[in-house]
Amino acid sequence: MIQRRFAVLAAVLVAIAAPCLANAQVYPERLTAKMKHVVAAYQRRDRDEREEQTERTTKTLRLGSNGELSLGNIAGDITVTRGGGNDATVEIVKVAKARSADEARELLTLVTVDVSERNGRAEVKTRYPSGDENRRNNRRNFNVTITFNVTAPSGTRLNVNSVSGNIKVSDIKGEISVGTASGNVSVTSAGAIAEAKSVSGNVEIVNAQGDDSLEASSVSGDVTMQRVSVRRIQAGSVSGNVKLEEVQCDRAEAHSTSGNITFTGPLARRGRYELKSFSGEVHLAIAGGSGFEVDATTFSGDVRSDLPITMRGNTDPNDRRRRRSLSGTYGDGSAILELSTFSGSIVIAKK
Amino acid sequence: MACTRYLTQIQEMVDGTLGAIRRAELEMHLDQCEDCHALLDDLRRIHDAAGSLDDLQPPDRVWLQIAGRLRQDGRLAETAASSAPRRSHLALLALAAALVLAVGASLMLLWPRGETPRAPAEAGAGAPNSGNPAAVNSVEDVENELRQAEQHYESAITRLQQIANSSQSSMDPQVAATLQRNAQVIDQAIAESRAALRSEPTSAPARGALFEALRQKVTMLQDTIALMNEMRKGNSAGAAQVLNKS
Repeated sequence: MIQRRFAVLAAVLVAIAAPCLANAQVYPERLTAKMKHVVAAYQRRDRDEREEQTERTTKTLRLGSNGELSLGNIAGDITVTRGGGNDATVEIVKVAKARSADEARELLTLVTVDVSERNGRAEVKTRYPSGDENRRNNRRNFNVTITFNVTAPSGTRLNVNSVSGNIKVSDIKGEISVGTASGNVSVTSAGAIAEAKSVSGNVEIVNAQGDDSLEASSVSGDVTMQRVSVRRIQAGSVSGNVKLEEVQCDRAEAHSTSGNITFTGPLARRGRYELKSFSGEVHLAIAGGSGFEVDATTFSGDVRSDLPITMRGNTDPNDRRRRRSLSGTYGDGSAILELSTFSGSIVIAKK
Repeated sequence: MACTRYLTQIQEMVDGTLGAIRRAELEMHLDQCEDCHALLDDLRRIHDAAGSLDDLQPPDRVWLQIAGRLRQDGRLAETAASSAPRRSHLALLALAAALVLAVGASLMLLWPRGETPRAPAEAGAGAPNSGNPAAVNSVEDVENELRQAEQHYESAITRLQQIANSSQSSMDPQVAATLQRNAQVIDQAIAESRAALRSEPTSAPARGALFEALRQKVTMLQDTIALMNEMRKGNSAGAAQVLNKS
């Protein structure tokens, strides 16, 4: 536990220090003061909040086989798996830490979970005391996490959001929207996934089949899809990699600023695939025999194709510009590839 | 004024891309919120009006001039002049104008009551029109319009950055740190592509990279401000939803 706390403390320090480097040139004293403040706060919290109290409750929700469940959490993990029957069960595990056992028990009563259900729709929402209530109770921080372990019918439509915590969903075939600000998102063996997003964690989708669009993104984490078959994929990260492995779709749009983009899978006839990175590599490994028309450009990297492409435009292999762009057709040219990176390289290969 | 957390959903509803669950959620909200309902009606009217506009048809000589420039750069061999460049720069201008509208909406939501927000386009003063571009007359005009689009982005970024900086204390420190760190990644991309454009002013990859990075910066700032707004209201769950819907 202590190691974990120090790991969290270290992560917070790194996270705060890194982005402040530019500001530090202007306000070095503020940066130092802020770091000292954070260190002191965490040390105080580790020292003071040693008493832990746990409360477990279970709710049964009558959703039916194709009901809808919305779950909103503030801090804590959420796991949703397939269960039998037409009911969903929600296990709520509240853990409070404080200086004394009594205070921890009091915290458990202050942080509540609102559950409402009507006509096959249920909403589960964590509620922390408002700012006014905190001021009345002379409290600033609530060291309370709530973990949700949910089993739901396979056809349940899910809308799961959290501020801080990991989200895992498996074997749910109804439409899924999941997102967390700080934590990882993992969805496996799913049907239609509308959205899977995180700000500071990884997003992973494995084995998903649907007829519609799938949007997955992270700000600082990787976005990975494996064995996903949908009509359209939109995937992006600012500083993470985007990996689309063994995917099948009519349209794919993937972008990253500093991460790599990888695509492996077949191309659909009349499909469109736009893969963009700024400083990362763009790598395609194409399965099957579909032809394509390609426009690939890089500013300072190289473009290479292992497939024989009938070139358009500049065909002089010694020309510097030629190595940095590639326009042409492979096979019947039925799919369209738009590939770009600013300082990385682009590779088109056969899988 | 419409509620921040529903802005994206309302736009998606107008575009016809909103999923079933979020549509149901939005419809419940629209039943209770006159402002959001009014915004939806307005956006639908704009959408319908835009759909009825005629395509702009620039003179043929414009494409000949562009083709000539591309041939000089070695980017075009024998193929006929394509309409792609026209679509490309018009799309950029349209995107920039849309961003300014979106930024304006963010400003309206965030501005303290009693003060009148200035449109972001005013910040870029001197500033070029934010509406549809006039008919294109030369390659220089195309470049000017691209420059205008960049200015729109820049003024939007400046405004959003000011708001974000002034409200940062309302956000969870770890999330704020992540957003800041990644904003710097994007800033680096903007700086590098600008430097590349200075060394090779006609480079399409450099220009494309610059606009992509600018677009990402605006998007991230808009998300950041929406998140701060929810945090300020004490609605952490709503904040998570804002980020996740963005």
